[in-house]
Amino acid sequence: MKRYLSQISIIAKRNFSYFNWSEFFIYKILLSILTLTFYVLVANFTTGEINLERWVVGNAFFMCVMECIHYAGVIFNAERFNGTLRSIVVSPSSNLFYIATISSWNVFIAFVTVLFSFLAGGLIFNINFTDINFLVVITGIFAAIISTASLGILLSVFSLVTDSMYLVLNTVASLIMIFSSANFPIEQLPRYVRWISYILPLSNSIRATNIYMYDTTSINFFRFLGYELCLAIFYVVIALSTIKIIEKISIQKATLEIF
Amino acid sequence: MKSSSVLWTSFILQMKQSFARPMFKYVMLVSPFLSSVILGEIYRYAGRGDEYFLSYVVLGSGLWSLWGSIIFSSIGDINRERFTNTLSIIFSSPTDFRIIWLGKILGNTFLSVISFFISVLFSSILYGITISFNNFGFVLLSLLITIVSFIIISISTSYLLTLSRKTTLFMNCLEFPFMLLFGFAFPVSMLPTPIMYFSYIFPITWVIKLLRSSFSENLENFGYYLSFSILTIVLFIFISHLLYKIIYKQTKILGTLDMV
Repeated sequence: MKRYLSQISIIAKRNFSYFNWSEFFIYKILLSILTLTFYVLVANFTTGEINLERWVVGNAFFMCVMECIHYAGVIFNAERFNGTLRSIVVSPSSNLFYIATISSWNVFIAFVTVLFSFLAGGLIFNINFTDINFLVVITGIFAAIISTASLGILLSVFSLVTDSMYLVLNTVASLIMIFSSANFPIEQLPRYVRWISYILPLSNSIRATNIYMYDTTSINFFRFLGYELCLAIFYVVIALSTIKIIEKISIQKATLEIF
Repeated sequence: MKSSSVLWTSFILQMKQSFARPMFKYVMLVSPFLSSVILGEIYRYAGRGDEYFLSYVVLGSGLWSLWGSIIFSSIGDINRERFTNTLSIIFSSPTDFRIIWLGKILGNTFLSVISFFISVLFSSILYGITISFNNFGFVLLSLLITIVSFIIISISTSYLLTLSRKTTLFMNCLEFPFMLLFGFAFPVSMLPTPIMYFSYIFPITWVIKLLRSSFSENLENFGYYLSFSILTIVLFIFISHLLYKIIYKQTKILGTLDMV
């Protein structure tokens, strides 16, 4: 626990040595709010709807992708760039534990980002907050972030053998956008590609929050979230079972420090 | 060395360098397909007609791809040059920095235009949109003006970021906020009035209108949009010239060009 907290404090210090508070706000919060505004305005223009809750919820949840996929997915890349990757790989402690520790910081920032995006989106697009069950929203956000961060951890493992992580992560992020039902229902997509939504995060938490946001917490809400958390466990199990193999391949193929 | 030769060398070298980067491969070859699907499905959900698809999905996703390629290449190149310790060498070489930089931006823009066409072609095939070329000459002219406007915006923005050591931060902040401002996927009239007027300063806002007009049958307001496109391009040429002068001076005073 002590090591975990010390790692987190180092990550926080590293972040704030690069950003000051105003830059941090612009980069992490304002950018997410503007991205959400872009998508919700497209929805507003195309559908002409006044009640834009479902788009605000969907796009606010999607804002965790930046932290949980784009940043968590390149943790090893950053170490490689700093020349510390070799030390991490040969150290006796678990590499996955190290990624998970750093990802905790991303999870925290993602939670703040999503929450702020949801509140700001609600204010911009006149959502009536009084009837919203915030327990449902916060639980939904939490489940969405956990499953997305787990996918980020799984993807980061592959950075040991490829230098094309930005291509991989951006493609995955766009696929999450398409299959998350943040902007249009998955049922609209061809039947033969819909299965992809079952193996990608966000769709269940977005759907659950949209259905039960104004409702009292029901058993179905937890069924949706349970599925999202099962997905998170599935990603972590795959990451655990593949990291040793990928580590071995990276050492054999000498791709560990390839740029 | 002749300026034209420097320009050509920089142009060719930049294309090779850009295409070697996985991120550029994403924005050039993968993103056009995915952005077309995202915009197309949003419009399909709303049940919008072909006219909307042409203006906001086919052209919108094409411009999205073009803008993405420009941001993650031309604008980010300042940072890459800084990290490889070549920014100060380029800046202090006997050839004018602007010529070398223009070559780089032209190289990136050439590749980015390919992503524009990939996106336009893919989205029109996927959603069955027939693109009419009744006004072929006007379409060509508006495409040319569009490319020029993207080049001039790239130059101005990359100059602006020369002095900053946080280019990555700003580069990532440019994609969606400016797509929102320029009206790639919806008309700028959807924006609050002060922001709408602010968007009119940028040539990209006008060239988008120009491009949409060139594809319409009666070339609605084509001359009007063309005039404002040219006017704002000239304004940004002046701004980029001014920025270069300021940056050149500041670089000598601060000496922070190579600081990372």
